Amino acid sequence: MIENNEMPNEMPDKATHNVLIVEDDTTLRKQVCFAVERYYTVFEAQNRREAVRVLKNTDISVAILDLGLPPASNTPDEGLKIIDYIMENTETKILVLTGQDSEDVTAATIRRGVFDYIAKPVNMEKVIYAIERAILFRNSEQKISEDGVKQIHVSAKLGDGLQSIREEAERKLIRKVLLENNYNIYKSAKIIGIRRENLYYFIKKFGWKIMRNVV
Amino acid sequence: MSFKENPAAFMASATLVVGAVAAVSICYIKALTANRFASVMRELSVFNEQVHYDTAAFLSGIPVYLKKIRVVDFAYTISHGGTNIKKELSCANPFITKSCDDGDLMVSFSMVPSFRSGGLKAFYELMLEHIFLIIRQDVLMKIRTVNDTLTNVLKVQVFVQHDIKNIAQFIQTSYYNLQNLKDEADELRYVRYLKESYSPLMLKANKIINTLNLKPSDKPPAMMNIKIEAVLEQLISLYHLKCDVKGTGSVYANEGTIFLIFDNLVKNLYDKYLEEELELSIEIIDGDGMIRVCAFDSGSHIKDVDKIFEPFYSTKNGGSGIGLFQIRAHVIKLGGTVTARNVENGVIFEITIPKSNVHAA
Repeated sequence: MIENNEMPNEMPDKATHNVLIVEDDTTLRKQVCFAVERYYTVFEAQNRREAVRVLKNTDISVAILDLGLPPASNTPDEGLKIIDYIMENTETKILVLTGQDSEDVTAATIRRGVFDYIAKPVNMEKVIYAIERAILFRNSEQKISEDGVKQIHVSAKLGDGLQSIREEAERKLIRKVLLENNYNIYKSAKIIGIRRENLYYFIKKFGWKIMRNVV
Repeated sequence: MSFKENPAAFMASATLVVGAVAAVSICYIKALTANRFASVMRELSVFNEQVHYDTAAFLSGIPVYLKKIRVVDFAYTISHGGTNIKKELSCANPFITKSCDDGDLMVSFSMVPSFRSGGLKAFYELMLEHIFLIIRQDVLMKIRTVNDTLTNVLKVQVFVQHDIKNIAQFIQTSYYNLQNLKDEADELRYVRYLKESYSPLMLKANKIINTLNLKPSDKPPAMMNIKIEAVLEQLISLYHLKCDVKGTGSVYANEGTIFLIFDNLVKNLYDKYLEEELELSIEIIDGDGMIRVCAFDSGSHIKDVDKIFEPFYSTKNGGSGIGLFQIRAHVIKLGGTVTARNVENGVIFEITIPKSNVHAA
């Protein structure tokens, strides 16, 4: 994990946003960093372990994510695991920038709720533009959130009934509120509008551990 | 009592003798027939071997052998994946046939014997079975070989595609960055980034060229003294690994080859390190005429440790099985050896490379 301390010299209003670049190819990562750090504070990771470490310690607005990462560089597995981690634990918007452009892989990322999917090679203007849009969406979602509206991403297969969708929505919403409130049960229950006993019930049901001070 | 006195006894005895002679003759003829059929079956097997188990060549050559057992005509159909090879019967005589259809592959073989007595029928059926099995085995073997080849080509393609797409993206991004350089400070920063990219870029180019077996030039590769500890430290730094390197040693060889060998070794450690918490250490031993590099990791044992240097063999998810094979191929070319062994608390990879022709540093 490397933090590039050189601050962007343009668009100072955007400089408050952190962008994580997850790419195992050092040569490419350095170039993407150079292009992005003109506008944002950039963090780098070359594998899942480093990416999760950054995500745990820093509020990342946008993650530019390669899917083919070691130890399985020829499959999208590692990238998909990072997407799962981000969707479950953070508010980070994900831009997939990958050479793995098969329909199955694209569908797998879209189902998980990534913000954008860009196949390599691509003009960097498009990447910068996608980051801008992702930040715009994130800011808007945060404003909406201040009004008590939470956005969650749920993928549903038609014909499977409503039970699984309901459970998935419950799980994601409660997890999101708990994380945002550092597992403060009283506050989280109040925000969601349920009793504390019910919140404990959900925590037990979904098998979560109460982890305070987890960002 | 003579036969004259008892003609009935004479007749009985004569019948017995004639019967015995006939039986012996039949047995003899059967034995001759069996021998002929067995001989043709063996010849067919040998012929199949001579044509290198090529079904088309086998089928075009069998009329000679079938003539020996008086087969007047034969037919076959082989159908796989939309491809059909077919020969139909040219006469309307009775025939015997054997076929199988497992959905993906259909094989059928028929033959017309010149005559079908009860005794010979069994021989012809045995011959039919034999030829059918040869054809089916050959076809299955060919399908498997082709499938394996295609799978391996695909592995190479995926392996290289990943790097080539990244290089294409690198070029696109470099172009963008060069277009947007604002001032001298920006330019200096950019040059610094490029310098950081130089080693990994060279490694990547080297890997692609070696994987595709391209020859960058007709000239013999440049040889130089290479410090193994410096190569390893550079690679360990590139992969952000925590790994002690003890000892020193130099070899006189092509830099690209040495980097390729140890890049694959360190990459292998790195992949394992990402899956497990590992302790890593590398020791370089400067021996008599040889440099020995022992890489230890405290991770889980390797399954089928004897197979891991075989091409396209991998125990990793999505692994191409190219990296370790490349190590072995290049180490052997240099006159060295490479082994991997499971030890009590981990795994040791050991590479020896002759340092002959080492120039004084």
